[in-house]
Amino acid sequence: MVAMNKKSGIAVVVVLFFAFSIATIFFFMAHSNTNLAYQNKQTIYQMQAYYLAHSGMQHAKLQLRLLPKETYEFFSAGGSTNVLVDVDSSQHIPIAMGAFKNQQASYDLFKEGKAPDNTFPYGGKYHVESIELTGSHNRMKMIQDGYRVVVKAEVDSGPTKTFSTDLTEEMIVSRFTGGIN
Amino acid sequence: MQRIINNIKKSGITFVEVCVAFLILGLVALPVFQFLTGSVKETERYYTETIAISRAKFIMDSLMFQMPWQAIGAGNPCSFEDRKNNDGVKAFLRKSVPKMFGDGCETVDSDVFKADGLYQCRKGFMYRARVKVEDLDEDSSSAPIQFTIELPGKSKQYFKIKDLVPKDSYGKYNLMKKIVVQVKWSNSKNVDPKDDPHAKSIFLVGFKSDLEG
Repeated sequence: MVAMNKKSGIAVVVVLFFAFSIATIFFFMAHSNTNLAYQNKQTIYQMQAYYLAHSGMQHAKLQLRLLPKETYEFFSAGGSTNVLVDVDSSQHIPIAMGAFKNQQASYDLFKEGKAPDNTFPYGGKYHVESIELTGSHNRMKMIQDGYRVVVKAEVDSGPTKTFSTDLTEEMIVSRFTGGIN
Repeated sequence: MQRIINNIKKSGITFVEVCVAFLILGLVALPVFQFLTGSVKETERYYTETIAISRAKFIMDSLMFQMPWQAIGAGNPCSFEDRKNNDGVKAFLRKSVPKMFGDGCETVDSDVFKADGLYQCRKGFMYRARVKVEDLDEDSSSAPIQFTIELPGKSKQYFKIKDLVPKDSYGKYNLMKKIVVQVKWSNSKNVDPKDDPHAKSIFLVGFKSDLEG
């Protein structure tokens, strides 16, 4: 009789162990799905910031292409501030995305009137953080200047949905033709 | 001996005990299966989102870094057309645009495409991709983009787009295009996201500068 009572005690332990194992498995499955959702969201914000940073870098290259001589003159005259301070999306109305607004949640290219010009599906900004002249090459026919440009971009898709990134590129600009390598 | 037989009889499983065991099993199994079904659906949702992300990235990468500036025409959806009669660009458009947007991006002219199409993945989920492009040219805004530089000891110099470049092939003083990519998808198989009120969307925004001219 005593032996039988001891065996019935084991059953409770086995059931508890089984229940704990199942709970652990479900916890990790739920956690893994939550992680996947979080990672997808982070990937989206990261990509949005990445393309804004590249937009800023293209904007900076555009200005260097258009005003290569003036940019060099800035540095040769002892300029030490950011000569590309104007390459800032918040300073130009057509590219000023601003902060996230609630009405942006209904932005839709597939629906008539839901994606008017001068509006954006989310907020954000980019600007040139710094530019430095890394060197000049005057001995060849082509006079070239080397620059290192750092662009910062920030995305605002709502509260707690922000992401920022920066991008650094080195480039060689032909001082009189504006060609960029 | 009789006591042992009685003990064995008492330790046997009755019909009621079996029923109770099945009931408990059922009560436990029900939420378990619900959880598993929900989990499979969730995983499919993340799968479709991942496909949409990679498609949006593919389109934006192609437009920002590969597509020639002159081949992108403004609009919603925007158009792709080689305006300089370059065979290489035409071949690029014929090959790349259907890959980006899937079915429906062709027009009556085999060299002109629109940035709107439908793609179905191997699991049967459908995705619509569309791109809107706005020319940020000299005349598009009351305060168009301009370029400035301030040399040490001198006043700030302002340059308008039309001071810097001639008109482009669209007849505009333009150096920058705003690109908005939207990928819309349905989490139900074989349903066009256009017809699904619960369709999901992701967006990417970029500004492409004319670095070719």
